[in-house]
Amino acid sequence: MVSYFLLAAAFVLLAVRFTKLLRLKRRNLSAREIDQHLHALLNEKRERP
Amino acid sequence: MRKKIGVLFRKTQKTAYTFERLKACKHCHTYHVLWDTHCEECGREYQPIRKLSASVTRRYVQTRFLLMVLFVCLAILCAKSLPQILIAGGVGILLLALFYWMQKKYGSYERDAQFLPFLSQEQDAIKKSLVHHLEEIGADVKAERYKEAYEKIREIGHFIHSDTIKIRKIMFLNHFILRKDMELELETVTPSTYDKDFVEYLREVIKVQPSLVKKSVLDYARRYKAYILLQENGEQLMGQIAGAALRMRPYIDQYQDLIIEFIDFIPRDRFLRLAKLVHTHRHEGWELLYAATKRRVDAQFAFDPDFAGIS
Repeated sequence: MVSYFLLAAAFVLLAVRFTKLLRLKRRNLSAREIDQHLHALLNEKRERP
Repeated sequence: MRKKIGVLFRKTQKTAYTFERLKACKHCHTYHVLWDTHCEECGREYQPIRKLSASVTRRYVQTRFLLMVLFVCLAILCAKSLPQILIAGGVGILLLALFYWMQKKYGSYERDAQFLPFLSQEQDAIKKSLVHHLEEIGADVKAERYKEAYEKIREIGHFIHSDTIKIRKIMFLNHFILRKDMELELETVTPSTYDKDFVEYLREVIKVQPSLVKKSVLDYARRYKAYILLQENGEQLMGQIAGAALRMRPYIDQYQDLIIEFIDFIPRDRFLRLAKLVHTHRHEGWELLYAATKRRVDAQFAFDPDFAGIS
């Protein structure tokens, strides 16, 4: 019984990863978006307290 | 007047994206955007930031894989009969194979997605490294090594778009004799406010590479026309800028007012191009431009054979 429970846990782990990878595939981040993110990070103006 | 020096700039690396210019030293946890290939602190080779981020993602995937292996092994160990062992082993192998296949097929999307939070996480370290480079530039300026200072700030300029960087670039560029064969920049050094040094630089650039005059520079000239005219030979410079706008038809449409206003100061060769263009397209919303061109042709070039038949 414990054996099947552990296999089920491994299956859940796989399913979670599959869902995550599928979601990332749908998002399909382009290199251009990454570049824009970098520029935004380096050029953002921090508000002074 | 400042004595200008002749220089030959180091070739800058061409990349499709800015992040490709970022290199990291894994050991010192520092970043580098210049041309060095090895870390100045530890001597180790710099690695592209993407590679570093990919290795972090790989580690994350590996831990998930090991967790699955652990579950499968425990399932086999906990099996109480031979059929259970066979089922646990078979299902386990199938699950691991599926994991491997999924990773092969969709792993690249994860690498891209993880790169974003990785950059956010490394933001301070990257900024710190850029500040370090700026300090190096400060030392170069003190030692009057303007060429090195410019080459360094040119690389930093790919990352930071502030007016401070642009104005410093212009300050360095104004130390050099500009040539046609140089890899010059104009759009990327156009500040958001009026800057006398930029106008001085623009005057020099327009002589050697008028093709660098694009929309942002024309907008700048239109916005700060009053200030430029206060400069020595300001009208001539505005004429040269207007002449450079004749390079493309959309610019002529968009900056017609500027061209008409400074038509008398446009250099002869550029004016000849304008005359030919308005002669061909006079009925396409260029009536005012045509009238202004005709007036100058009649006043100055009435007997010039190049302008014969144009007006």
